[in-house]
Amino acid sequence: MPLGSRTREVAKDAIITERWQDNLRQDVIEVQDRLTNVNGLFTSTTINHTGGGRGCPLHLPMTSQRIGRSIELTSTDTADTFYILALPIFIPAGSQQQHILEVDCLRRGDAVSDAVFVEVRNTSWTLTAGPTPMVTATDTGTVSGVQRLSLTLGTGWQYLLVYRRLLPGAQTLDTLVGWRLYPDYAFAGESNGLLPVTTTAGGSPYPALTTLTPTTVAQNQIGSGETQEGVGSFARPLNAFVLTRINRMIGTLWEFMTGAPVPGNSALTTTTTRDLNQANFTTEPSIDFPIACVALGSYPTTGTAKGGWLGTYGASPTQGPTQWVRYPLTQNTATTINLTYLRQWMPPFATGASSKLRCEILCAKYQAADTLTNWRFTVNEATAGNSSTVALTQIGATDYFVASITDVRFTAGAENYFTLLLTSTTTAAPLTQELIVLGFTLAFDP
Amino acid sequence: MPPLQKIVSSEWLTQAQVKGTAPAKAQIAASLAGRVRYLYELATGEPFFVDGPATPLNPQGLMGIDHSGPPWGNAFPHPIWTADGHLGGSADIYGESVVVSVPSSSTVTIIARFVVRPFQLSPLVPYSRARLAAVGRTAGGAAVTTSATFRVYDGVGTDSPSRTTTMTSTAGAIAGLAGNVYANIEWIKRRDPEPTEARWVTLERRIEITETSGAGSIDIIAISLNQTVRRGH
Repeated sequence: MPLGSRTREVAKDAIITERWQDNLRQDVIEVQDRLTNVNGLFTSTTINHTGGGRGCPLHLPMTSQRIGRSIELTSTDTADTFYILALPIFIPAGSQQQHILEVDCLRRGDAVSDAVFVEVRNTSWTLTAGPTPMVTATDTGTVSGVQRLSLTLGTGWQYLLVYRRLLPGAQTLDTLVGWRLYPDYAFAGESNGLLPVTTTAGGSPYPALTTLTPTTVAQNQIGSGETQEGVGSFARPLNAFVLTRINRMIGTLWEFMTGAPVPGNSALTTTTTRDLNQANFTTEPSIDFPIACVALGSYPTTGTAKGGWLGTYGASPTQGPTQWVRYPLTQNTATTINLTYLRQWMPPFATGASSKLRCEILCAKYQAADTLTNWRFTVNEATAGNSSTVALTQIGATDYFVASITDVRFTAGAENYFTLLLTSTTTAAPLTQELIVLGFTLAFDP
Repeated sequence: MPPLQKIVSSEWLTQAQVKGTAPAKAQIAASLAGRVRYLYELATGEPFFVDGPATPLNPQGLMGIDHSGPPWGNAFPHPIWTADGHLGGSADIYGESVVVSVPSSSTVTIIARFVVRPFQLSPLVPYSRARLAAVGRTAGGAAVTTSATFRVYDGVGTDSPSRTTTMTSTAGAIAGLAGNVYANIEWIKRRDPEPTEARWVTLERRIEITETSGAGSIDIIAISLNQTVRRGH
């Protein structure tokens, strides 16, 4: 399919040919079909914002989580090293680039203990980056101990681990205030000249169609019969029917894609803008889209080799970072444990059984003998309901386990109230499957 | 003037200019071809021709629509700051807690620290605010009706506050915010970037929560700030 009319075909005094008109028609078809996939002409190159000609990556910030927990050890402990953040992260396709990690933890003036290190591991738990020391930042706002690191992250699911040597409580006021992960954006202008049009000067009241639908996107809606090469003679005159259709279609695509009105109308004429919810266009592309990364607790860097770091599992801890650890106290088939709650606005993407919203939960075992086979995770949204219920899978032969839920329900374009639920298929007292919950990430991963 | 070897026209045509009896002008051809070129580049993020792009860079410094708000595409709602929490007091899980508990007739402040991606800054930009979302209930779920008002300040000092909205936990039931409350947000580029550090300033917004019923404490279970769509002008 030819792409684009060349300069000589559109310049002053050019001979306007049917070929130019057909080029134009096919160019419009290509743009609208790569956006909507209605005609299936560009299925492998639809605009899904993965870069490389498939749309600009969105580069959304991954997370900013407020934690506000003490990471002191008990006063009778000795200094020891713990992962203070350990959780899955999801980097959207096309976003493989530098990211900035910031961890807000108060400084203690002790160069050794203030050092914070970062590891990145792939889904096989192979180390892909680090351990790398973070750098103490200077522009810290209201927090005095922001640690910052620029790191290159590959795309897809992986694990982020941040560790620090923790001190007994009597010596510190050590607090994990929060953390952030976001792309390191290039220096850019602001609008760079592409501005929302605000005037009503000049122009037709009908510069765009009122809606973009599969019908209006159909190829024959922009005059294939009138312009198709071989159908008419090469010298066939310009066709005003086709030109007016194409003129309006271009205006429609402008509003659909940019969300801004075309010149001549200060109001949006087209009622549909690109929201990727597959409601208007059932085969519209889905995109990778991070929602939130939530750390839930700490874990010793030595894993189960440390042993007994909480004291007696199943009771409140008497050792370790007692304010920054999370684990069940009961194991009962009749009990659903609410692990944590989230309140978020969600994008307008497809919901229900076709939801592409995924949740990965990272856990660890308390001691080497634990298999964690009987625990089940579910994500509930107060209006949309429960996801499927998923067991844990051990990551290789490590102390770590992951649960992957691929059908998280949500309500599009509204506030959502998520609860991470934990159940057990056995009733056991005392607990026989000693589970430590470390963190989870919600992301659209089609 | 744009170089002549490129089609860069994004000049718009009225329907009258392309109707059946309209005179043929090169402007028509240039406009139609040029606008499609714009659309192609904005959609794909790549130049239409190999000799270079016609469209400007988007706010994050790349080519194409990045859905950071009109005219760079509909901005999809997404969280920019999150605090997860719990009902508190569970005998089933260790380590849970509410985000914050606001004592009766008292005010508690939370500092939200976050980074937003670049978007176009202008008076008409729809992506320049963050909507607060939260749920809470009377402390411990006690059968007492409590209320909290939420207000977001532009910074952590004495900056101007947002409008307020209220949450009411009726007889201890879980409740959400009754109205919209927004924080003004912007993205800030460091003026003197240091090579080893990020070039973006972490924003801080002060969220002030006041219990107003005087009947008891109210627990905030979960709270977030979210960039939201506001389409149109």
